[in-house]
Amino acid sequence: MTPDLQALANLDRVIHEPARLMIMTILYSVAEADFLYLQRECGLTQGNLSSHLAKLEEAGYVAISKTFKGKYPLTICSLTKNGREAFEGYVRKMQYVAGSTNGGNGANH
Amino acid sequence: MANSPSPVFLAEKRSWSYWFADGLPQLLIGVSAILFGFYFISMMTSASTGLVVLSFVAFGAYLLIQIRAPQILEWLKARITYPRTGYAASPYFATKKSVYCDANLNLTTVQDPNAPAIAEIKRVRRARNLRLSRTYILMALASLGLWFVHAPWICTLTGIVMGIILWMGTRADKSVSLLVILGFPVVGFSVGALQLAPHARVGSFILGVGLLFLLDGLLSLALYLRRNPVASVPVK
Repeated sequence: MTPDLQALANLDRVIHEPARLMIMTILYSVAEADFLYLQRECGLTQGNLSSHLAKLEEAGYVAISKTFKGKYPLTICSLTKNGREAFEGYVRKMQYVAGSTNGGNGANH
Repeated sequence: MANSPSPVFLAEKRSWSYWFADGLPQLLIGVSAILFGFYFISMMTSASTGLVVLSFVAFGAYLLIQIRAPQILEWLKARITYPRTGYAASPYFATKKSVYCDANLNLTTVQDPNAPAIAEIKRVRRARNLRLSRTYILMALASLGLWFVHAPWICTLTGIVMGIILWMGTRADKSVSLLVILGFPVVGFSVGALQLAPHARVGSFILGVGLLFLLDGLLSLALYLRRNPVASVPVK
């Protein structure tokens, strides 16, 4: 396998799934958000979001905590340090792939 | 493709807009400006003892809002916004902080302006902070005319100039509504029409701007509550 293709093979499969990628993208940009905000932003059902969050939590990318803001209970999700680094690594790899594609197109012209 | 904004950038922008969607930050700005304007007017005019005491109370409330703005907003949002549309950390107060969770799920705030490693987010936040700082400074400079030029037309001109500065500084984020931007010249014209002394003009201008933000906040809040009438049941 060439090093170029190796980059694709090494993509983080936990993040690569579209719904989880959405969740990671939102959490990367807002630092922390609750279940309801994520659900509205991603357009996922409760069950779907729960299962994806559980997978991200299992991978150590997302931390979920229950807290109160006033009298309102919140399920707050935030990226862990590992999650942040994994997301940045994933983005770098995807940028590398996108860069390769642009370079290839450029070479054909 | 290279020029289209990335999903990370769009998510960050949406969270910024979300912060202002319920009108509560505008309401708070409005109330604090009204309090400061009232204090300013009463301190600059020969007033009765009762009014002086009242003005000091207003100034105390203004200081309290300035110091405790994040906590006051959090308190209000916890009762109005979070149950309806959810909670997202404020990008307004946390642009220079990163929140991490350690292994025991304790939230740790790290003071690191370079926390997001993706260059686009860093660039967007830096540009926004710079733009807002520049807007505040230019608006403060524009208000100097109210002090030093005695002609009434200066009030309208100041209102127009401040409206333009505010529009230029916030158009990228759309954090200030058109009502406020277009309201600045109206406030300026109204203050000029009152034919006040320069020191009273400044206070009245601040008061007028406060009323403008208050109106904008109330309208935004009414629209928000209309769109999201019932609080959602939180998922446990």
